[in-house]
Amino acid sequence: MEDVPWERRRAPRQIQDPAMLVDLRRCIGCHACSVACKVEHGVPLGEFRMRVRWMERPDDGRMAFLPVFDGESCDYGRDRARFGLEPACVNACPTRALDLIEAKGAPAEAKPLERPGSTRADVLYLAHEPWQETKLNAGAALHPEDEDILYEQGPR
Amino acid sequence: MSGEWTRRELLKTAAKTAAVASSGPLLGCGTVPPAGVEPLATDAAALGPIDYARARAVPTVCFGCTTHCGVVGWVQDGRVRKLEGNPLDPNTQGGICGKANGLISATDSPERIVYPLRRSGPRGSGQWERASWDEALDDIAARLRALREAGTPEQFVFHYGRDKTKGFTKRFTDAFGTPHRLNRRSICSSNRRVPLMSFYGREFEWESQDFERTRMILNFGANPMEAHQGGLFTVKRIMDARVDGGAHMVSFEVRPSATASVSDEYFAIRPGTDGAVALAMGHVIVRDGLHDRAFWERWVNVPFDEIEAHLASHTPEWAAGLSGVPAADIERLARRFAEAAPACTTLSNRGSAKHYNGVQADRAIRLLDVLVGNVGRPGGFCLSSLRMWKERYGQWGLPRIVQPDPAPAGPRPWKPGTREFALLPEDVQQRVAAFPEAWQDQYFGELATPSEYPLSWLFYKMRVGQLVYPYIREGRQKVGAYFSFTLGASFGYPEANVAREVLLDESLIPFHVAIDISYGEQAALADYILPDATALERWDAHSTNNYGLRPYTAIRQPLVAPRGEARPVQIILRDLARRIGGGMERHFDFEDLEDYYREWYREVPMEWEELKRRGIWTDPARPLDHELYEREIPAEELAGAEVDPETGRIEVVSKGRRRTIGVERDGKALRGFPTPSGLIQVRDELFPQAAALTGLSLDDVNAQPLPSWGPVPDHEGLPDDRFVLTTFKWNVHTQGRSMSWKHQAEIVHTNPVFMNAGTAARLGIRDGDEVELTVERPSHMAEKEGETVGTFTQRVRLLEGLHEKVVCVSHHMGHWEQGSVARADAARPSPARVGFGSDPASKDPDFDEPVWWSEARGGPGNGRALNDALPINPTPLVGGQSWFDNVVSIRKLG
Repeated sequence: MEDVPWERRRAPRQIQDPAMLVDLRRCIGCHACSVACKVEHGVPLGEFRMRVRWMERPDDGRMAFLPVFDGESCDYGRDRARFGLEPACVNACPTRALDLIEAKGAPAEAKPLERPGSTRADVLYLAHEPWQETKLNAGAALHPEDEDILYEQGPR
Repeated sequence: MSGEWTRRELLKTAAKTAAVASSGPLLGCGTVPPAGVEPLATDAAALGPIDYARARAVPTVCFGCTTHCGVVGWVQDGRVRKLEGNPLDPNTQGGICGKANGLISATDSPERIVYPLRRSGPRGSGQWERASWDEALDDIAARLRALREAGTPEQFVFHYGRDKTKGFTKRFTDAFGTPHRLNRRSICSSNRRVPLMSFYGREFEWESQDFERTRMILNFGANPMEAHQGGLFTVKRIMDARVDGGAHMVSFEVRPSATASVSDEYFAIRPGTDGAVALAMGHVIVRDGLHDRAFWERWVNVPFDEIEAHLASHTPEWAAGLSGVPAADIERLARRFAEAAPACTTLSNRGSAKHYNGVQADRAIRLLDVLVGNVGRPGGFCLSSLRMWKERYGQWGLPRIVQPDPAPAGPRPWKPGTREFALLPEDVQQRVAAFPEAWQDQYFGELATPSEYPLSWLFYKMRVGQLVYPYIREGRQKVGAYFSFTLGASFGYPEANVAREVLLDESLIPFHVAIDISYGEQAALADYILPDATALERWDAHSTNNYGLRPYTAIRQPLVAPRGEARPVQIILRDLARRIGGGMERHFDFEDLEDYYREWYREVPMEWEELKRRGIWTDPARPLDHELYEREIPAEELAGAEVDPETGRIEVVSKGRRRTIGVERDGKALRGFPTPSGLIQVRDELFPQAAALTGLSLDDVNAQPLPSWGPVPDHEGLPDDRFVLTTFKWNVHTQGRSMSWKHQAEIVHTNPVFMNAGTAARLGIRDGDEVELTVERPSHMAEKEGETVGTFTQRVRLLEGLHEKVVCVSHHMGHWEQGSVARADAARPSPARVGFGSDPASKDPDFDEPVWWSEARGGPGNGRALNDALPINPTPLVGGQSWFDNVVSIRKLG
C-alpha cells in the first residue's frame, strides 16, 4: 500500500541546539501557528506560548507581521518531537515561514531581536526590520491585552 | 443509569479501540463511536498531550469556511484533538489556516445544540423545550405534507447559508417539488462569477491562476491572504512565486489588508474605480502594441479593431483622475504586465466586484488577461474548474461524481399558462411574458429567479438572497413553511432587521425550522431547531477547481459520532422525506450514509477504503490544465456535428436545441470555450438584452456589451463630509459564525471604525474617540431624497494606510446570540443548553467565567453589530450585494 505521510513512523526528532527560523518574507499574519499551538497544548484563553503580532509600518501604513515566542512556556514542541513531529506552529504554517533548525545551521543573515523579553533569544528572523522591535512592548509581547501595537483592534 | 456511567463505558470502549489501533499500523479509518452518546468532557487542558502513537489520523475536508481544504484530524479517546493540513491535497499542498481548528471548538462547545428543540413561548422569546426526534419530525413532516397535498409545494422554502452537501439538499427540494432552495450567493460572489461565466462559459465560474509559475500579479481588491474563497489554495503558491521566483505583485485596495501588505506595491484606490484603472491599462497595452494579436484573433468573439476603438478614450490620465492611482504608475504597470506575458495574471474579488459597477469592473479586469494572451498559459490566468459533477465533464476523461439513482425530476418552470405563473403579481407576469422562451424555461418565481435580476439565474441559479425577505413581505411569494439551514441572515444580511421582522411575523412565515449547530440569531426565531452534525461528524462529497491545475476530489468523513442527539442533515432530510411520503421516500432509499457516499463515488478509480485512507483522489499522471481550449475533440463526439463556415463554430443538435461544442481552427476540431460562440466573449449582448427586458436604461454601465466603467451613482462628487463605508473579513473569521470559536474570537473580537489618520485629524477625531456613522440609502433604491438606513456607533482606530475617503468596519462582531464567547458574556447561558449545558460532563473551564475581552473584565467587549445599518443594495441585473458603496456621514460623540 502506498505510503501516506501521517502514517509514517518516525524516529524522535533530536535537535541539539534548537533555533526557530522565521522568514518574515513569507509570513502572511494568518495566525495558523498560534491557533495550532493553543489547540495542541490546551493553552487556556488569556495565555499564549507564541503568537503573531500585527503592526503598522511606519513608512506606508501597511501591516507587518511578527511571530514571537515565549521563553518559558514554549518548548518548541517537545511532546511532538518524541514522535518525530515538527512543532505545531511549524506544521501549521501554510507558507513555510517557520522552521525549527540547528542553530549552527542558520543562515548568516538570520538575526535574533536585540531587545530581550520580546521573544525567545533563539528565534532568528530573516528580513527583520529594526522598527518592528521598537513597537514591541518588552516582556509583554505575548500578553493578549498588550495594546501598544495593532492587534486586537480594540480601544487603546 | 446515570450519564456518568455511560461516559465511563464509552471511555473504556474508546480506550479499547485505541489499543487495537496502536497494535498495528495507524489506519486512516477506524471505528466511530455509536450515535447518541452523552457528550464528553471538553476540558482540553486536562487531557494532556496528544499521544501520536495511539491517536487515529483521519483525513477529511475542513468546513471552517467555504474553501474546503483537505485536513487530517487526530482522534484520541473519542475526541478530535487537532486538525492539520492534508499534504495529499493538491490545492492546499498541506497548508492550514487559523480558522480550521475552530471546528473543534464548534464540535466540543458546551453551548452547542445537541437535542431537537421546540419553542415553548412566543416565537423569538427564547423559551425552548426538548423534543424527541420522533415528535419533531412527525410534526414537521405533517406541516410539509399538507403543502404537497394541497398542490402548493412551492410554498416550502428551504434557505441555506452554508450547504456544501453538493446537491443532497437539492435532492430534497426537487423530490418535494419546490424550486425554493435559496442560497446566499448574491451576498458573496455572484458579481465576480457572472463576468467569468460570460467570458469563458458556465463551467469556468471560478479561475485557477497558475501562481506557481507566474512572474507578475495584478490584484484588484482580492484578499487571499486573509479572506476565504479559495485563499488558502493560493497563499503558498503566491508567496513561493514572490520569494523564490521574484514575481512582482501589485494590489489595488482601499485598505492595507494582509494581501496589500505582502504585495510589492500597494495603491490605496478610490472605491469603485478598479474597472477604470483596468481599462486604462488595456488602453496602454493596445496603444503600445503589447497585446497578443494572434491569440485575440484566434479566440475572441470581437474584431480587434472594435476593442481598440473602445479603449481609445480610456486613457491613464482619465483613470488617474477617477481612481487616484497616478497615470505614470498605470502606464508602468500595464507595460510590465504585458512584458511578463504569458506568465502574468490578474486577480480580483470583492474589492472590485461588490459595487454598483462591479460586474463591469471585473469584465474590464478579465479583459487584461485576454489582451496579453495569458489565458490558460503557464504562469497565466488559467481555467481549471473541472469539478467532476456534471455529465458534460465526462468528456474530459474524468470520472463523474453523481448521486445515486433515482434522481428526482424537480419542479417545472413557471411559464405563462401554469398555475404558479397565474399567482405572480401582474407586473411580474408582464415582465416574464416578454422574456425569450429559453429564459422562461429557467424561470421559477421571484424568490428563486427574481425577474428584475435575470443574470442571477440565467447562467445557473445563484438567487438574490438579500431580496428574499423584502419579497416575502411584499407578497411576491406566499410561504407555508420556511427552513433555515446553517443560515445567519438575521445577523449577517444587509438590513438584517428586515429578515428578523419577517421571521417574527407568523402571517408571513407560518412555520420556521432551523437546522444548525449553534444557537444563533436565526435559530432564535425558529419554531423548531434541529441539531446538525458538525463537519467533523458527517459525510460530504467535495470537488472544486484546483490551483495545481489537475482535477481532484476529496471526501469529508466523520471523525467522531455526533454529540448528544445531533444528526447529519442528510439523515434529517431522509427521515423527513420518508415521513412526508408521496413518492419522496424513493429518493432517500438508504440506511447507512457511508453506503450512500460509496455509491456516489462509484466512478472514482480508487478503492473506497483507500479513498477514506487518503481523503483525496487525483491523477498525478494527467497533464496540467493548460490551454484546455486547444485540446482536440475526439472523433466520436463529432458525430452529427455541423461547422459554421464563417466562424468555425462546431454545433450539435441535442434535445431539439443547438449547442456549441467547440471551434474549428487550422482544420482541427478544438474544444474552445464553453460559451455560445465557443470563443471568449469579450462582447456579450446578454447585458443590453437583460437591461432592455427589465427596464434598466441602456446607458447604464451594467447594460454595456463591452467591458465598461461608469461611476457608482452616489460616489460622483462626494462632498467633503461624506465617506464610503466598506467592510472586510479577518483572517481568523468566517462571517459571524466563527465568533463562537474561542481561539478565533480571542484573536479578533471587536470591530472599531478604521479611519485614515489624516482624515481624522481634519475632522478633529482622535484615536479611540467614539463616532456615529449614519448610512444613507443608495439614491436608486431610495423612496425619498436623503433617506438613511441606520447608524453605527463605535470607537475609532486610526490607520495611515487606509484611503482617505474610506471608513472600514468588520462585520462579524456584535452578536446577541451565538453563545457566550461570541457575546463575550457568560452571565446569560445559551438557551440551547436546555438539558445539555447543565450536564457536568460538558465542561470547559474557558466557559466558566467571562472571557478576558469581555466588558465585565475591563476588555473591549465583543464589538457591535453593523449589518442592520447597511442597505439592501443589489447590483442591477446580477443582484450581487453592493457591499462597498455605502455613503456615510460621521459624527464625533462625547
